[in-house]
This record gives sequence, C-alpha cells and structure tokens, in this order.
Amino acid sequence: MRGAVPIIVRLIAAIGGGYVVSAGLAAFAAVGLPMVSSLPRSEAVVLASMLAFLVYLAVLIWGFAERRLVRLCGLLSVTAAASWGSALGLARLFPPG
Amino acid sequence: MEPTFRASLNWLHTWAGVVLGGLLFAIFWMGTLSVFDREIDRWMAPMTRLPVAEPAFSYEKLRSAYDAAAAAKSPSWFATLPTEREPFVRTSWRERQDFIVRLLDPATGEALPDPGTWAGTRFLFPFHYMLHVKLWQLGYWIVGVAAMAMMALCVSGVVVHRKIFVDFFTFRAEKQSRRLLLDLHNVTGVLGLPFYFVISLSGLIIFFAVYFPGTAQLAYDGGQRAFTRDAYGQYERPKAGQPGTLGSLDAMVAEARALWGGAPVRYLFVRNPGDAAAYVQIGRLGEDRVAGNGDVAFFDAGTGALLHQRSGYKPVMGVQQFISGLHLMQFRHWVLRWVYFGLGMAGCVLIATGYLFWLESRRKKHAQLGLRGVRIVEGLTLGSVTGILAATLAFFAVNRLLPLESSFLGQDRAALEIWTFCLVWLASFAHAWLRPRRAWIEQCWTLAALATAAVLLNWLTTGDHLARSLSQGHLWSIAGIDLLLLAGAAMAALSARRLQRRAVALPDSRQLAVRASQAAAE
Repeated sequence: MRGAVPIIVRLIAAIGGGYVVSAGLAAFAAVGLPMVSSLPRSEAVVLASMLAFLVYLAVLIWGFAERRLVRLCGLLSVTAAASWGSALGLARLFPPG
Repeated sequence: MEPTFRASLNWLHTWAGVVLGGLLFAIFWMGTLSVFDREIDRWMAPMTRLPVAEPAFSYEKLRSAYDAAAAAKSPSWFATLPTEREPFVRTSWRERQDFIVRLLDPATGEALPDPGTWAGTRFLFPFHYMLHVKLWQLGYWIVGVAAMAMMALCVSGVVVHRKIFVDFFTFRAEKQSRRLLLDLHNVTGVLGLPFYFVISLSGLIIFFAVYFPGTAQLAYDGGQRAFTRDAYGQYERPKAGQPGTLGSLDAMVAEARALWGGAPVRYLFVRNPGDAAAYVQIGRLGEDRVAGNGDVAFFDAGTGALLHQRSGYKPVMGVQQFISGLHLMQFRHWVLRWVYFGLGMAGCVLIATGYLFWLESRRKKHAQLGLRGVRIVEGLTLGSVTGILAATLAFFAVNRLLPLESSFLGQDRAALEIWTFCLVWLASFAHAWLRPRRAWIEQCWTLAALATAAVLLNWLTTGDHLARSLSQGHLWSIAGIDLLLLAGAAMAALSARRLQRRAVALPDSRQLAVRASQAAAE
C-alpha cells in the first residue's frame, strides 16, 4: 500500500500544475507570435488558446505516467516559471495597444 | 507511477472514470438531449406548436417587445426569427434582475401565453455546459475539468486495451455479464472514439476565452473586451444618455438582406434600446454551413443608416468557428442530427457500462474483504445513470401536469419543474442507498412508468396523440419526442424484466452461503 501523500502531490502537479503550464505557454505564444510573424494579435490569442488544450492533455497523461515524482514537479515548476516569466516580460517590454 | 506506461494509464482510466463518471454521464445525457432542444421546447410549450411561418413577415410586429425593453432600460434587446425548428419569434431583454423572454406568433405578431417552462433551451442545454452553477463561473470550470478528463479517458482507454481492433468486432451477448459489459464498453468506446474526443475538445474550444483568460488579458491592454472587438470586428458605441426613437426595422432588414444577396436573417440585436445612440445588429441565417457565415450588419436605430458591416472570419478564428459549429450543430441536416443523437447515446452507454464493469469485477472481492467501495460506487452509479434519467422524465411529466400560471410556495411554474427535477434526482440517490438490492429493478420500472406517463399526459393535455402528430408535418417534432419516450419506456421495461429474472435465477451471496452450510451439515 502506497501512502496517500504522493498521490495527492501528483494530482496537484498534473491537474493544477498542468493547467498553469499550458496557460503560461498559451500566454507566451499569444504575446510572442505576433512579434516574430505576421500573425495578427487576435489570431495568435485564438491559436494559442486552442492548442493549449492539447498541451494540457499531453501534460496530464505524462503527469500520471512519469514514475519519478520529483522530476515531474521539477520540470513543471521550471516550465511554468519560464513560460509565465517570458509572457509577462514580453508584455511589459512591448506593451500591447 | 505504476511500473509500466500501460499500468499507469490503467490506473488513470479506472480512477478518473469512477470519480468523474457521474458528472460525465450528466453532461453527455444533457448534451444528447440538447441535440433536440428546440423540439423539446415545442413538446413542453404546446402554444408554440405552430405551423411554419409564411415568409412575408413584417419586422414591425417586433416593435411592442422592443418598446417594453426600452421602457425597462434594458442594456440590450434580442430577437431570433422563425426557423423550421423554431416557428416563432423569441424576444428577450432584462427588467432589473429578471431575464424576460416573450414568444410571438409570427403570423399575428401577438405575444403567445407565457409557457412557464425553461424546457430544452433554457434548462437542459445550459445544464450541459454550466450545470446552472453561476457563482464565479464555477459551473463552466467543473464541466471543463470533466471535458479534459474525457479526453484523458479516451487516450488512456486506447492504451489500456491491447486488442482494440479484435475487441471492436467482438460482442459476446451470451457470455457472462461481466464479459458482456466489457464488450459493450469496448464496442461503444471504439465506435465513438473520434466523436467523444472531438466533442470534448470542441466543447472546450467554444469557451477558450473562459478557460484561458490570461492570453487575451496579456495580449490586449483592454483585456477580454478589446480582444472581442478586434477578433470579431464588433462594432460598439457608448450610450448617449438621451432618449431616441426606433426607425423602420423592415427597411434595415431589407438593406441587410440586399448586402447578402437576399439571404434570410436569423436575429436582431439592439444595444441600449430606447437610447439616442442605440444601434441594431442584424445577423444572417447561417444554417447552410458548419461554421455559420459571420455576416453581420450594424444600423443606427434612429435613422436606419448602415454603420458598419463585417463578413466571414480571419483564418484562425474561422477554424475556431468551424470547431464550435461542429459541436453546436446549428446547421440544417436532419440525418447528421440523428447521428449526433445516436453517438451521444453511445457515449452514455459507454460511461454506464464502464461503471458496471468496475462494479462487477470487484463485487466478490470487496464482499470477501469487507470493503464498502462497491456499495458506494453502486449508489453513485444508480443516482448518476438511472437517477438523472428519472429526474429528466419527471421534468417532462410534471410539465404536462402543472396548469399554466400555477405557483407553489412563491415558486413559479418554471421553478416548480426544476424543483421536481432536483428532488427526483436526490430521491434516486437516497433510494439507491436504502434499497441497494432492488434499486436497479425499481428504478428501471420507474423510468418505464414516467416515460409512458409523459406520452399519455401529452395526449390528454394537448390532444396531440401520435396518429395526429405523425400525420401533420409541423407536429413531427412532437411525434419524434413521443416515439423516443416510448422507445425509452420499452427499453427500461425490458431491462427491469431481465434484471428481475436474473435476480430469481441468481440468489444473493448470503443465501448461497446458507445453502452451502446446510449442504455441509447434511
């Protein structure tokens, strides 16, 4: 019998962490894509949001398949910090109209 | 987390299924009914069973409803025009906290009596996507979690079943019930797999702005509002604060139709009715394509001058609209509508058999180990599956029993119907818990009785029995609902009888234990 704590940590990491990461990547793409391509801003928002659901799904599956809990939590934290950091940074450096 | 990828996903499939299956069943069931939401509306509101409207319709008939909205200082006024599935005008606006809906007869322009029901479009359909939980948009988020879980269940289900193609062609109806349940779970699962995945994903994509609000928030200074204005080419202008008049709606509609080569109009929407800066938004009927057409024209309410028009969508938004259109199915195609209904029902069977397989494969072991899991999950299954079916059928039956204008304890007629739904649903959980051994049989008989009663009550209160509704084209939607109710009643009765026979043939484990000890004593 496994303890309940690792299961709870994994649920929070996969479901909560997965959401934060996919929302962060979507925000980064929505802000960043119009800067590096000719994609209009509204189109970047829609594209990033639609793809974020698939990213979230992939993270969910990985979250329950990855055996090393430390690696799961570590990678999710790093990606969450990096995506939200760069999204917020870009939005501050190049303020939207 | 488990030693292998497959074992991990098996764990995920089992637990996500058991924990969220009840919620998923409710969403699938309500979504499947919403395929025929307008037909259910007409079944539940007999005053709207009108023949299809003649095309020469004067929009001036809408003026009294508009004036009522203007007098109430409603922020907006909305009118949808008659279609094949909805042969009447539906107007709506706000009066302080209340949302007013008034239905008009397109032939006379007279208001139809208040139907006193939320029926399909206002109760069953919103239940499907937000569970009527408005606080903090919590309902949307719960449904969103369920939709993500459904996609994860689709992926893990494919990984778990090694012999997926063999299973697809396997249905051993004569084998023991556990094998049969798994076969049924696999057949409905594989057959509908693309549908379940796409319907969940598209449901999420419709509300992308709810689920990922941060993207628009960061990309636009003005946040969500600025994004909407930019993305849909929405025209907006502020309130003038002075009273204004309404010009000729007929002239505005004629000009809009001329822009679209004479195509018909689906709706009129007025922002700030009665204000000098009010403007009329006219949308083109888009039932000939999946994504709709995005053709909209904006007119000054007072002068009727064209202010702005837009057509189509930008490419990515066009994709989003197509995916949303796939889910919402507002295009006109009766064969596909029935296919959606069938696949939705298959989804309900998939979820129910998943539960039953879980129960049957653990029943013996849990009884030996003295675990309560099976009892709890069985109660949950009964309430979530037969319980919500009974609640829905009670909602239909009570709709035909309550007289118009009736109220009880300060609750109006529409609220009484919803109370009936909720109380019957709660009662089904209580019944499942109190009578675990007989609950399946008794709830199946209840379903059969309620569905039959609904059909009979429809006949008695409206005179639209099957022979009549089948012979008149504009009543086919009523005939369709009646026939589905009768088919459901027959299936419920058959299930109840089969379960009863099996209960006689297979005595429960306690009796078996007694017999075994008697045999040992002899």
